[in-house]
Amino acid sequence: MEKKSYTHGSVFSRIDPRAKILVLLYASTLSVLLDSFYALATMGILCFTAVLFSGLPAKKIAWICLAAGLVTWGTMFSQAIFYFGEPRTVLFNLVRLDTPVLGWITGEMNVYREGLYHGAIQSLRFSAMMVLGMALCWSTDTRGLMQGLLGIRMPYILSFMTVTALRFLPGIIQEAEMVRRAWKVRGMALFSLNPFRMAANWVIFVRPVFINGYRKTVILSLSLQSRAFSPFSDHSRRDMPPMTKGTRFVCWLGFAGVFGLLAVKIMYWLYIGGIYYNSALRGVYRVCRFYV
Amino acid sequence: MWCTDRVMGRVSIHMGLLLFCALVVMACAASGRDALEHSPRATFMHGAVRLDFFRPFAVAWVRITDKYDRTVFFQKYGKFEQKHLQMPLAWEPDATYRIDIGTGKRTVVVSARSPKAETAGAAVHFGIPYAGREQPFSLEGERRHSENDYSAAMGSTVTGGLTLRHYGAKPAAYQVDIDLPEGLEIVEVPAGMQVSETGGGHRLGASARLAAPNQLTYFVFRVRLKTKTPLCCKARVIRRDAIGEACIDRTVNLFPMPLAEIRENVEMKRVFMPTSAKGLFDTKSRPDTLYFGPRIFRKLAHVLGTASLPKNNWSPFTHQTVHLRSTAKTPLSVLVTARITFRDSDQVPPRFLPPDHFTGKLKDKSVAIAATLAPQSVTRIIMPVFINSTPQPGVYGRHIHVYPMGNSLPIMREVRPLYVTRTDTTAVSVTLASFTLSIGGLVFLVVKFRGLIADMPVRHLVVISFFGAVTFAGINVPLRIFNSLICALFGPFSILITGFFNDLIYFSMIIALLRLIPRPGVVTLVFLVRYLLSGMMLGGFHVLDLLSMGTSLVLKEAALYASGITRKKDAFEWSFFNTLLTALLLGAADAAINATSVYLHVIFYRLYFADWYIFLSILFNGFVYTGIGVFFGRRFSNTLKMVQE
Repeated sequence: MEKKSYTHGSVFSRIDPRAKILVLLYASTLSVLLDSFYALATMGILCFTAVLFSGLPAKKIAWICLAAGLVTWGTMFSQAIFYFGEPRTVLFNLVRLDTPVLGWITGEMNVYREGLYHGAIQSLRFSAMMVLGMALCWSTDTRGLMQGLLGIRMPYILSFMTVTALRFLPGIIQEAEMVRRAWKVRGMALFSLNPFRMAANWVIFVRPVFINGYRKTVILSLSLQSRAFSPFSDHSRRDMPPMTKGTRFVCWLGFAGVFGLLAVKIMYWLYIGGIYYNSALRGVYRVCRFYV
Repeated sequence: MWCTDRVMGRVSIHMGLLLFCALVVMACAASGRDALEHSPRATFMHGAVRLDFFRPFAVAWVRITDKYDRTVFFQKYGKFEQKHLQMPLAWEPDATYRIDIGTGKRTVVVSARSPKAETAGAAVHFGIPYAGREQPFSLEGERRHSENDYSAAMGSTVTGGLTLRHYGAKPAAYQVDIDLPEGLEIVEVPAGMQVSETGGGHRLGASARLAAPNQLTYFVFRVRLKTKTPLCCKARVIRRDAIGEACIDRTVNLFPMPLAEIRENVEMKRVFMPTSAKGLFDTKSRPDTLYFGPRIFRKLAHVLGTASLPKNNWSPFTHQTVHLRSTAKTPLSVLVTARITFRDSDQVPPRFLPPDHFTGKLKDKSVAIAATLAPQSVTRIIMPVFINSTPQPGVYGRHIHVYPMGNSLPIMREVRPLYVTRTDTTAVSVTLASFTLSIGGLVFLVVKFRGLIADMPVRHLVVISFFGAVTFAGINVPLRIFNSLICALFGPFSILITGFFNDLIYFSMIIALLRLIPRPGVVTLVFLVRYLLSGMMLGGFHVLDLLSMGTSLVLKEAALYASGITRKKDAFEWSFFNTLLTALLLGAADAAINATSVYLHVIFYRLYFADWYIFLSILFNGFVYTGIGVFFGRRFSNTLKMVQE
């Protein structure tokens, strides 16, 4: 089951996969570094804009938006309950202290208004990364991504194993579908409210899938050995062409930007922590406080 | 024709607008230059130099150099606009000083010559009620004559005071006479002060001889207001030295006011905390919040010389500033008290007790500051906050009371929250430990990776790939599809459902695989294959994966090695006891992995989690699901073993 790019001919699909992976890493670094709502919102907007211009089908974009919406709501939900920053305003009570069992476990559980806001802001980190990750992933075929990973020095053996795993996926899905049909015919249910029952069901369900798949691994490995294939030898690898100058420049620019921001943030943290202060950096501190 | 007129009309409007803009720009430029076009005037005072600007001006810094070109004063300012600037300076008589005033863009140089000799004199401050300390370097106290208005609550007993500061190198004798009108009843006078009756009241007399430069003495007395009419109190200080005699007069017009009127005229505009000793908000802090960083940071700051270690009990930890607005036409003398209490009680926590020196005789453990509110303006009252050791994190109450001088009934009460926060040391420790483990794991992997897989047959690699694919299809795909929905529906309790996939099914499969290939590095390879598949198919590469993945792999491999599975390899017996031990060790490792994951979210994603949630996550996802997963895996692997054989 090799995943094909959904964006043939779009700008996204033409970008070097190595550059895509690096951009993803830069974005993930930013999602950890940024604190200001404006900065996080800007990052979120940029990531959504990237999705809109990625050339993905409308259905995929809608799916991404739904997933991002659910992530945002999930984070808001949990933070509304867990928020212990101050000040905080109770919207309503979920569990009272004298509620049997649950009250003993959780104590008083309220939904806080500020927690909802906090969750909404912090979820930008996840949703932006998820959106960008999916956009980049779906706009690149598996081979391209694998080559990109090899291009950033991933061991070849891992690449071999991942490609092998990819080859197993269609068979696994086919087997699982067959078992599901058999279960349906016999009137059996996979899901149960009892976790032990569900785990047992799951084990029974995957057993035939596993056994058949395992048999295939034996056949595949024999086939590979008979062709004298060795994933440890260097001649098995194919070199990627070097990145274009423009792509390289953008990658280095991104690196410099993220590294610079990290340095600025470290200076700000040192100031906040009372460890180091330099009056010449007051402008930097101000920018960090309000915009980064 | 009509068109031409309209075009001409538009042109003229545009020209007019342009001209107006040009004039505005020129006016702005001109106004920007005014302040320094007129050189500021430098005045030498006792122990200080004062700069008077033409209009309020933003000064970036000031440097004063003496006749030997040595810098004797340098201070940076925050570019706050000010009309007068007073700088402490022990200047030498008859010397020329160069004063450089920097604006950030340019520097203005002022040359000033100090007086031939330091003028002898005295600064006298007289007040009833006496509501403030003598302002250092203040010119007010050196005036020969001055008249001030004060107010106090009717029928109250207030404290009056006269402070006298001696200037000059030679000694001088001072005679102090304070005339109090009939409407004031003397309640208390200090020892050594003589009281005599005059035509319409009393006279308090005292004498003093002051010899040391800047020596300070004071005379404090207590009086009760008996009347409703304004009262005029006078003080005369006669200074005698070898040169001659000088007379300094002070007049106080005291307006007794009903309590209700004082209450109506005072309004609390704003309360800031934490602020500097000058009342400026500490912008690096959150409002109403005191943050206590880790002790190691404070020590580091001390080593670097950027901060001192916790101060002694006598100096304020920080300040809070109260802005009081007075709408009265006369100055109002008030006493502002502040104390910090527990949120739900009226008790002052021991860690917020102010030192006795500052509490005086107040019974409620408050910090008290006396102030005179200028008429129809806002007065800034800066109050110290004392902390003698790091308080417990939480919410406290700041009770601010405003009393009219001489009255025990407050005219205003305000309760503001105080949030005390600390660094979550558990989260930081876990993150640091995770970082260390990840670095160690990464180094180990880089160094030993080839060794781990060198003698692994291709068949094993293919089987591991297969398990990677199964774990991806059985765990990552359903989680990716349903995780958001589960989180949205179940919120914090979603871990109990996602843990089923993440831990129970995952460990079942891992144990099954280890039963087939009991070797070190197998778990690592499955994990990496699953991670890469997930990244490529679902888009999930993240920089923090290095941290969480490293910790997870190191702990799992260590647990498997300790349990004997990857240590004894094929010699490992899958007895009940050995499986239980494996379940416990893997459970402990997974508990640590779950805790790390939660704390990484706390640190890097700024999320909050309740203790019970962390406990549930560790208990269920760590021990319960993992334990069940290990036993299910053993049972499940029996079939696979049969197929293998």
